[in-house]
Amino acid sequence: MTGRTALTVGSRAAVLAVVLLSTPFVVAALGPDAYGVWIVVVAIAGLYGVVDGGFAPALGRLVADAVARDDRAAVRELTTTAFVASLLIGLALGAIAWVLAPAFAEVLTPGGGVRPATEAALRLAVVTGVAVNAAGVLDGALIGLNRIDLLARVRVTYATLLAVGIAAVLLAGGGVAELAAAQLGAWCLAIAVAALVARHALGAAPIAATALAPRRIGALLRFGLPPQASRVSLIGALQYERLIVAMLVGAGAAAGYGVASLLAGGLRALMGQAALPLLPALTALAARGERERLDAEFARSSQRLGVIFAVAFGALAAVAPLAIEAWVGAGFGEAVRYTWILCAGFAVSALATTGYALAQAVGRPAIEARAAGVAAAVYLAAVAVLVAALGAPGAAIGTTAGLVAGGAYCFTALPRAGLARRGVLLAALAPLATGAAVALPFALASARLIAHFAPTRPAAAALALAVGAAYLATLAGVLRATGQLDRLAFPGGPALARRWLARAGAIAGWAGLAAAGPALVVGVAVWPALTVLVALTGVVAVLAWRAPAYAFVVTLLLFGFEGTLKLAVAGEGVPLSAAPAAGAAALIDLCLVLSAVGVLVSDRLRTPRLIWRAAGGLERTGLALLALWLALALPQLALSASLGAGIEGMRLTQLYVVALPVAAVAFHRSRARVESLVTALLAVFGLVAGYAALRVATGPATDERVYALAQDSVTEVSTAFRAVGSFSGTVGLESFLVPVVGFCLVLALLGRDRGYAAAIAAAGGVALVASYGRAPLVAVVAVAVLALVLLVGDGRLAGVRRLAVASAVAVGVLGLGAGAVVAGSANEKAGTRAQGLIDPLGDESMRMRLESWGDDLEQIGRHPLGQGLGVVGDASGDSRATKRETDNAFLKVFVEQGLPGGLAFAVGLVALWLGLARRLLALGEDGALGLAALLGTAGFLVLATTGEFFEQPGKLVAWTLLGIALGQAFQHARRDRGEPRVA
Amino acid sequence: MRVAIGVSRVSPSRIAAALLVLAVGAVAVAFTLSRQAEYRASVSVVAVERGVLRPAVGPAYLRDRLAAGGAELATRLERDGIDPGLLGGVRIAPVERPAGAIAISVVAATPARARELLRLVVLQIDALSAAELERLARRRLRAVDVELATTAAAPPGRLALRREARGLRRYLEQPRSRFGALQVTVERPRRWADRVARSLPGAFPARPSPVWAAIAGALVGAALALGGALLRRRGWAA
Repeated sequence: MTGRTALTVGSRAAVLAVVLLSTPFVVAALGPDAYGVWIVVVAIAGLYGVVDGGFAPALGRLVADAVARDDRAAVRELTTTAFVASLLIGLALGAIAWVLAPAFAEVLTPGGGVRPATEAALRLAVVTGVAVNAAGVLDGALIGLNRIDLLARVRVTYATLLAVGIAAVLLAGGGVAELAAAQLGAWCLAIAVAALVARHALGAAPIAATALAPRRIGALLRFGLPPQASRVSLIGALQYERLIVAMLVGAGAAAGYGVASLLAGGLRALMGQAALPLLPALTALAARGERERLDAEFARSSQRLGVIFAVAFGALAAVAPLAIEAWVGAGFGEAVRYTWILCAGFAVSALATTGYALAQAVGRPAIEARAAGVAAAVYLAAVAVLVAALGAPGAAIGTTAGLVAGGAYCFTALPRAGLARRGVLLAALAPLATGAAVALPFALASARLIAHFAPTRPAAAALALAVGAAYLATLAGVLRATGQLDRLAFPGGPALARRWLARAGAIAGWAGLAAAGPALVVGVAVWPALTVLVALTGVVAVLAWRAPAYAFVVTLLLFGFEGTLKLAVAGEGVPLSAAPAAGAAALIDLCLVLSAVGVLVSDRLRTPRLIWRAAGGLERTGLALLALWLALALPQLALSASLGAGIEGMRLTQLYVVALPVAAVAFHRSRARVESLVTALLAVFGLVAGYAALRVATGPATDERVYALAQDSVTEVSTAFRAVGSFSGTVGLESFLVPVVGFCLVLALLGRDRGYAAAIAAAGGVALVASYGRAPLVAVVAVAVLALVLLVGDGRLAGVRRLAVASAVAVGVLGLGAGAVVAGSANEKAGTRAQGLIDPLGDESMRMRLESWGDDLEQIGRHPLGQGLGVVGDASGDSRATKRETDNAFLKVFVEQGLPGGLAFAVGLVALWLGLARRLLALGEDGALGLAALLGTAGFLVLATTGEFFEQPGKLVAWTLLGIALGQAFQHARRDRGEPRVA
Repeated sequence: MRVAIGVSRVSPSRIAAALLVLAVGAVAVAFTLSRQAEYRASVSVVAVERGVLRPAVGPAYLRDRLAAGGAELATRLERDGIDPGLLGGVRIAPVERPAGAIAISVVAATPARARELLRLVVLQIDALSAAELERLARRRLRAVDVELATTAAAPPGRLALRREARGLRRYLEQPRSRFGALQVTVERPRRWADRVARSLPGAFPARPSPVWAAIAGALVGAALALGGALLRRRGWAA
């Protein structure tokens, strides 16, 4: 199946390649005007297919059915009748086109001297169209005869003849009329070859005057019109949106949109060939009544095609920014995001072709027609409305919505009709989802490469190849780890594939080490800090392979020392004139991605599935809404004023949610089974909090002070320097330590590591007091009060224990209060700020915040669908003066993602938090670790109401703690199941 | 009594790993020690005479100006991400040629940083000096105005006073720099290791401390040894 798919796709790609590769030579030889005529000639020849009644695809199904019944006469009758009907329709259309050709030539070349040649070329194209239709019938017959190999030979023959013809015309100095003649000649010869090979395959002439049977027309139309409707719907999806964009937005926008549409739509047209071999195979099984084999074949083939589509569309999405730059140059940045959105829609549409093949095979072609109708209805309405509301991005969103709706109809109709199981369809969709998840970071990285380095077009092409190769390698690894690659057939079976993979991996590993060794030695001598960070990334990569959970903990440590790493790298400089801080941040992010992939792949997503099955209504609601919030972010990327800002906004906020499932997987076991992991986590928190407290006592190192002051953030209260610890700024420190202190505070009350946790909480508390921030203190006190309410209110605790908890909380709160008083005496301004803790409404900064929040609420009312990612926070400007801030992380989400995204985020978080709290409290002692983590998250959420803290390093701690709470809440759901290798 | 002496055998791979750690660390330290620790940038300045205001301009005067604005300059350096401690390395001394010129020199970890620091130091001295000159000019202008209004000086004297007042007013309308910079020289990398570092892509990197280089080298060596060990023992997970 895979080999035959390669033949159909490859042979069609050969034809496309001849057209594409000959383009620069044709343009150079004929000039742009004549080239335009040539393009029209090619298009006219192909347009006949739109109105031919779908005889070619119908033949594929009907001939296969006849062959399975060994009814050779029926094959000849069907082929002859379809051939004659196609010729008649072609001739009727051709006659009209022949008459209109002079007028069309006048339109194409107004007043030009080349009109006779244009007219001749158009008339030749009209004849070619008739020939193309006839050739399509023979193609259909070969597909029905299940001779994909012969079909591929015919196509390659045509591609070769066309290439030779074009070359001969250009070398002889011919014009567009001669090119059209060459095209017609190539088609005629290809038809002769097709007729010969069909005769060879059938054992008799496929077309004969005696075999004409008009009664076959009904069957041909029954199985031909649905795929024809599907084809028209697809062509409409590609053309209609461009038209609407041009009408409502302008020709410039349509040009940008056209680039995206050509790429994604062209790939979809190519991938449409992939499912061709499926039709005769399924039809033969259905005709013989072998239902079980039919189900098995469909399951295998649809999953393999899912992998192929994931490879193709994922690779296009991953390299789109670089490929578009290399293809059409700068100025088409908008096309990138349209390509991303369209890739999603066309990938689903391509996968739906497998369902259409099944429906055809079992005699239910109407499913395809209805799916085409659904798709057309949705995109016709959605594109018109969304383009009017959102501009050009609306076209991409509307088209994708239509294509997905059509696919969704197909995938729901098949199980409803009893043709396929839901599980089989979900398994076919899984590679697409995997491909999208793997492609996303590569796509963002490609966009950042373009934004930062502005490469030349050849360099962009080289980078596109490199990114594409990296994507394919990563996807292969992920698919293999999740067992999806096994569904692809390798010659010699999976064992051989594994052996080759093992050899290739070992060679690549040694080659990488051999190349990296000298580079690292040179690097460490010149840029030690950067090289150590690179080496640490390597260590995280190795850990992600061998002990993924610890890779994640090491990543948390790197986030906790982000400022130290950045200042060390910035102090030495970095190669290639890159921005040092951005380079360091990219490497730390890479560590997060590597560790997350390690944890999730080693778990094979068993734990998330287990948790979902065991979850109650509140938890499911919360998780589903958070997933919806993330899903909405992708189309809302299209709303951003600039793609770069949108991507940066997504990186700063949405990317880190990956810590939630990662931590849930890593900590989804009883406390005893994660003891060493908890110790490692506490060690990381201890190092970060301890260092921060140490620096409060000794004062910051000169480099730290200078680096923090050079950042565009508030690091001083009058003359007093605010604690920064190992972070770039005070806000970063607060974001990290608030959840850490909350977590350790509660763990000290409940857990086994009381002393150590209490020490970390105390150290973190000292640093928070010295940060002169009021919100962090309020957040920690809120955690303490919440813990008091939950724990003292828990009837299962003994009275003495309750008293101890209450006393400990009171001591902690008093300690913080005393610290705040001491810090407030540093200078007058610090005193005024400390006063704000007692009278928040009288505080000037609080009044300013309230005013700013009012403005933001007005903005949300004006833009209920959001203003796009990256319009608030660090991505919105380069300095504090140009940045837009909401001073509230939740309002930021509402402003950027509108009411749908904002509500999904806020309600999702609250629902998940409440669900987990209820479940963890019910677990009693077993829920202590999870409850501590959940309360730590609560501290961060309180803090987030006063600033854009979901952009600060602490967001990773917050999502991690929420993940720990999730994993711990369902620790008992893993009964008797194999433990995944996560630690 | 016989005492058994056991000699624990260390596997060759561990010895190789330890040697790799030491070797990479040693290379890093050797390279670092071969590099120049700091670079000097200097500029010769001459005072430009401004009309009647001629306070003595010499090294001591410049040092005083720098000291007076030291705190402000340190704050500015901090904002620009430059260690204010580098101000301790500023040297101000007279030079022989041209007569009356004064050399200001600074040291920093790279030529680019030294040049930037020198620019900021000279700007600060110039700004403070111009401010002082402005104060002097205002005071003198007030005195001249009073003299013109209250005394009955002889016509040639009054003429001179009027000319001086006009000059002072012109100066106050558009205060100008008091110094002219003659020549900026920045030390260039000369040692072989610095030339190697300079030939690498990107900005010229500062020399790291040898201790940090040793630690970093050892860490990288350990990472390489770990990678090799994993590949040798397990190949690639198939």
